Amino acid sequence: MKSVDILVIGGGLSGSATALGLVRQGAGRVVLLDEQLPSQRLSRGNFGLAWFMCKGAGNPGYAKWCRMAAMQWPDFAAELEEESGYNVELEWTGGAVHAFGEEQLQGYAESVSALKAVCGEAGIDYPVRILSRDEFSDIVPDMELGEEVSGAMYTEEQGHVNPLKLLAAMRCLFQKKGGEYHGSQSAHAIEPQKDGTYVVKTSRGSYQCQKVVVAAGHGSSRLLAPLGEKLNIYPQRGQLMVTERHKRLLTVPLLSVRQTPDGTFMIGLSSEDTALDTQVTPEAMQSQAENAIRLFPMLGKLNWVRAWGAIRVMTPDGAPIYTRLPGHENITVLALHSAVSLAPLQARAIAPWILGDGDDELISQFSNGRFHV
Amino acid sequence: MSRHYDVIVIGAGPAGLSASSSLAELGLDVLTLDEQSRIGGQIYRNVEAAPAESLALFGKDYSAGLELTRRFRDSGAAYEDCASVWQVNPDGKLCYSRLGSSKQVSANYIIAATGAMERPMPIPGWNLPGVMGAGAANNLAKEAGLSPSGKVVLAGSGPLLLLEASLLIKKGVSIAAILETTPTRPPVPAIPRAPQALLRADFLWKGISMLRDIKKSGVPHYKGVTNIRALGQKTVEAVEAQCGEETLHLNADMLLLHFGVIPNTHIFRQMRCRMAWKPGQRYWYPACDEWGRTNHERIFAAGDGAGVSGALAAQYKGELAALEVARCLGMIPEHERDTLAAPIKKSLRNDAFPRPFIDALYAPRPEQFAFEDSTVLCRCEHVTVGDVRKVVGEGVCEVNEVKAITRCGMGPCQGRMCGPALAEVVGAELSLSPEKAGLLSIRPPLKPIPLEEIAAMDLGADSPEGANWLLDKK
Amino acid sequence: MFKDDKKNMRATVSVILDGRSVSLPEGMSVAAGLLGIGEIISRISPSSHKPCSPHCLMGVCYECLMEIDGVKRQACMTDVREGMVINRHLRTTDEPKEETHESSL
Repeated sequence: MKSVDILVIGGGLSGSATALGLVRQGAGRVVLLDEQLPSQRLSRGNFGLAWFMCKGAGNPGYAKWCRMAAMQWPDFAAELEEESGYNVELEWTGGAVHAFGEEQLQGYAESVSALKAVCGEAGIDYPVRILSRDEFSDIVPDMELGEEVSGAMYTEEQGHVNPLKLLAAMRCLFQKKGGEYHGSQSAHAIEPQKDGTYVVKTSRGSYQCQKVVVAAGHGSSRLLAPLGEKLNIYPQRGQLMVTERHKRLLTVPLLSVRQTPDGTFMIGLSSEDTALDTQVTPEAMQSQAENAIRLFPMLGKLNWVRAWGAIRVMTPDGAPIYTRLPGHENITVLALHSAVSLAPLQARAIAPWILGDGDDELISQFSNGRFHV
Repeated sequence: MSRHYDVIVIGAGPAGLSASSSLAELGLDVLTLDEQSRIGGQIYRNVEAAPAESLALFGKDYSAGLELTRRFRDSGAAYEDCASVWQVNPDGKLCYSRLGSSKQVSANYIIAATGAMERPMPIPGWNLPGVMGAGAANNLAKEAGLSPSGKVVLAGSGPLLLLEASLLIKKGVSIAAILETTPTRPPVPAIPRAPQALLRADFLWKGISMLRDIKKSGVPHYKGVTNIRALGQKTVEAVEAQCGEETLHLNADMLLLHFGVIPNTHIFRQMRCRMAWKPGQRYWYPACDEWGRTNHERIFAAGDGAGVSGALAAQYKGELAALEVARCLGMIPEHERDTLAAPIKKSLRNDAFPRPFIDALYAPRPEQFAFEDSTVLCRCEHVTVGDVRKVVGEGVCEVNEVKAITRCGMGPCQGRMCGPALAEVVGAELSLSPEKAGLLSIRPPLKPIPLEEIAAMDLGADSPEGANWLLDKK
Repeated sequence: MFKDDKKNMRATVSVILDGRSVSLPEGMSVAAGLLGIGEIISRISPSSHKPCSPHCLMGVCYECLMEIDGVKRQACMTDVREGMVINRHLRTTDEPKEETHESSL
């Protein structure tokens, strides 16, 4: 039986970022197992926004967490690119959410004030402001705005990135730094041993581990049930569309429309409670197409080329779950969506915390136990 | 406003035409959707408008299509041309685009007869202007009476390569050489299958006659050729290849490639039909019962799209699917279905006699897929074989993940041209059969659709309160 | 590259190709029509920035994509029509990618 210091189960954005952080911390022998099941690869459904805006309403801890992650993104990306050789296509060009009509814009102004207050409470800033239609037009000069666009909420301090390149970069660098990566390998049981270690049984043999990190998305629940832990997650589908390539016109990513460096426009993103069904529906495609054309009429003439659905790992309050299992302090569970935005903290904050050297006060707010009221 | 039919048939090639005709003749409400502007599919392309010279040149195998088209027109089946189906649901709903607008329609049963395509085989320079499929040249001849005007090289393997060569010879086209990758000596598996092929003397005679024409023409004909490459700056100017010890260098204005025919499976994969792998021919096809029924109750597959067997077999399979659908709809009882099916099944068996021999003779060999790193694999996104190998080297074992990182398969063709070779490369790197490398997930739209067309689409009164984003974002 | 076996006997229509008026035969696809008058190049690839030409002539390869009456379509799946406006955008002003076959990663 193979003996490892830390076994990370789940090679998605969350697991890979954490595994990278662990090898960077010099955590000994770190092994990362990745099923590579196409239906579970949530990063394919990630819109690619490295954002803090709009996150954490009524939840100061989460708002602070998101803001911290965004602040570290440019540095994280530079380091990742230099060391892995992968271009993750980060463009730190800000971010906006457009409004149709004055009422919606007013609603945004209220939400910005609310979040400023929440962030203030958490001791962090929230550099978001409201743009009028003209001001919005100034930041997207090459895109003609639809008639109903009244303005937007906006910040300079975030951007967008290629989620799949990000995953590839982290996986590559993890291995370069001495981590062991195994694709097409599934874990099916975590068995506590008398000496405090864990035996993890997989499709290709067993591992004896000092610590285990479970970051397997919707696959995590089945590993935790025998240990008596019920993970508070539910599946939420997001559908998105991609167009053919077009000359680069839009550099600021919007919540529902962004243009990638390749020239394709990504349009999304829906939120539906549909259980584990990644099918794409004409209704959702139509909604998104309508919204995109209302915002930027020129998009109407572009061909829609690809669409897909991905199943988010959603929690009741939307914030991540970072939890040590009660009675099994050496088993850590990570369950979250928006793992692109949070990637820097996965590597730089969660990894040290797993090794016993992190901000317990902040991170303990995200325990799975917070839902048992 | 949604329109509901008994059956929708997708494709107006031999399988689709036969299925539609049978169903309409049996009194069922059938809609035939075909993305081309003229019926006939590939093999009977433009047959209704073909001038006498074309009918004579392409022979009985082509003019036989006129019987099918006449029957189809007489049957009264509803037909929409230029109709591009872009999403099909196993529950019988489908979306299609026609003349700039998209519609959703539904049926109790859908017969997908979307046909086959030439096996895309990357070679260095295959994306140079002037390099096209041998079938493409055939299509241009049938549709537009066009013939290559300069020097042509034909390369690859399979009966259709030789058929196209013999057609071009008949038309007086200048052929520099035929480069067959088929080994000089027939592969061992072919030999025991030869006697069965002899039961179809007509088929063999056709083949012998074709080979004789090629020989008589004096066109250089090489066998066991490897390392084919197209060279040139703006268009193809020369073709190089290896034949035993000899390095061939041929000046050419056009290179016609053909490496066999494989089912066009996108529609089945979009519907998540259960797919099966045919190891000898190295292609995927929808798993079906004897009538063409897939694992989805309402979805049938007919024709070469269900498995490559040629035009006559496609016609018979279309008929069989129609009979079973008619039985399911209560139009004919089981015994009548069986009575009507018996002669068709007999014809199908008879037609199939030479197939195992031909399949074995021209079977694709794994060595053919040992590409150089610099060869372009994904034409749309310009991803090379080397790019794919690098990613597999980093631990990726599945084609969808390779696609996500390299963009291979993300272009407009949606992996039609790169999918097969991608699986071969990934499989070879992992010492697995290409079957184990995975299948690219196919999502709607099956063909690109302008966003404004989706936005304007009438989805009917029962569209659910689906998407809700923006301020819902947590 | 191609010659028409029936050249003088086809009815033609007038279309606009890249801003100039040309005659194309009726009753066939735009791809076939253009190949017949010696217009081999269908587009410049947005990924390699090299010229492309039709490859499969049956709607599978998408090399014949061109702007036809305002929308990008496959020329092999679109029939020639009088007054059609075709733009191949052969002289693109986009910044070209490096002209090497190095890894795209």
